[in-house]
Amino acid sequence: MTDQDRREIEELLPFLANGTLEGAEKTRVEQAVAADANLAGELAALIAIRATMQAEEDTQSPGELGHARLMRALDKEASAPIKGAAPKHSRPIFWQIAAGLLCAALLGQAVWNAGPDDGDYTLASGGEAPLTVTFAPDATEGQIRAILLEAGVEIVGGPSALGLYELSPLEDVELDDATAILEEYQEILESIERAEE
Amino acid sequence: MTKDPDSAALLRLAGQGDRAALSALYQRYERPVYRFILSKLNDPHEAADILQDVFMDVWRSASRFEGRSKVQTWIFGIAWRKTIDAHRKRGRMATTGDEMPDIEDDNVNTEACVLAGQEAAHVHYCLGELSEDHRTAVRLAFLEDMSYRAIAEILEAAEGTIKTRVFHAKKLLLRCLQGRVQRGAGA
Repeated sequence: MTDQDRREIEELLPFLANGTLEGAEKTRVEQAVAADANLAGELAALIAIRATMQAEEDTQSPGELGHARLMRALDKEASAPIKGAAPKHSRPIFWQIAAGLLCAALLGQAVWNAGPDDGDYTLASGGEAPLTVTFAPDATEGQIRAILLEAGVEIVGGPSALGLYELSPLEDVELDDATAILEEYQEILESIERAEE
Repeated sequence: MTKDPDSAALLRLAGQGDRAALSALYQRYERPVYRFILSKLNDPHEAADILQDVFMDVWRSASRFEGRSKVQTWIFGIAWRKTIDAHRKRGRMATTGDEMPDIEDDNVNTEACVLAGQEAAHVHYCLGELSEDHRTAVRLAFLEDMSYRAIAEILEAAEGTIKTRVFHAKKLLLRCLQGRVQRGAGA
């Protein structure tokens, strides 16, 4: 047996000890062990170590408590709005939000064209919407649209000179639910403020 | 569901939204996956949180399982990636690589190693002397009875790397056990 052969056999020996070698590899190692007392001794030691490790293993895992926790998490996930799925609304929401974005863009352009003199911090809607947000500068229109769809909100005002947008929940959407979804996207939404009720 | 379905069948059912199937997978793998995570993090609370995340990922991803590996390997792979992420968040990525400390290359006294290998205290001590990478590989091989291919897949390493890692770990382990016997260290 060459040094290289012996090294390969020794590398595979632990996997003969744990019973995972198969086919030609298993046969090769078994034959080498049968012909070499040192390899046989090493295999016996590895088998002893493995048996001791398995016998002494007494980790206390979360068990049933962990299982109950997992089931609660599944319940919670099942009751939450599905990410990426459009909520069930009576109006055609995609066009509604697209129109909102277009409206916002036109409003933004109007603010820009008006020049800096009227660049106060008020919003086009008069600041009465329940939510006021700012988007991250690098947020894409696609990202914003996806978030608005998921949260079930539409843009009803903005942007202000500071980039503030006003959002309002669509029919059948609870403000708390919409806010919770928006708050999950802090990398896209830099700020979310709720109007005082 | 059959009386004792295999894990792949359970995963398929879980992918179709069968919570009982997920529960069965949890019962089957929760303990080994948890001890694998715990062995890396040494924090029972964090390990329990990651275990929960692992099975939530199993639930969400079950329908995408392609059957190219064993279910056990797939689940352990998820656990490994989450554990590594937790390590990184803690700034504790102290991987040691596969360097082998210089040791004399003579044969060990295998009789002494067999004796010491039967003593839990010696085995525990010598496992503790191994580097984290070596210990992880040995635990997967001897505690979870995994093949080198499965270990390589879980740890996202080459099969040759895993064979070398376990080879070095084994050498160090046997030498440590022999030393414990020769020094008459108490078991």
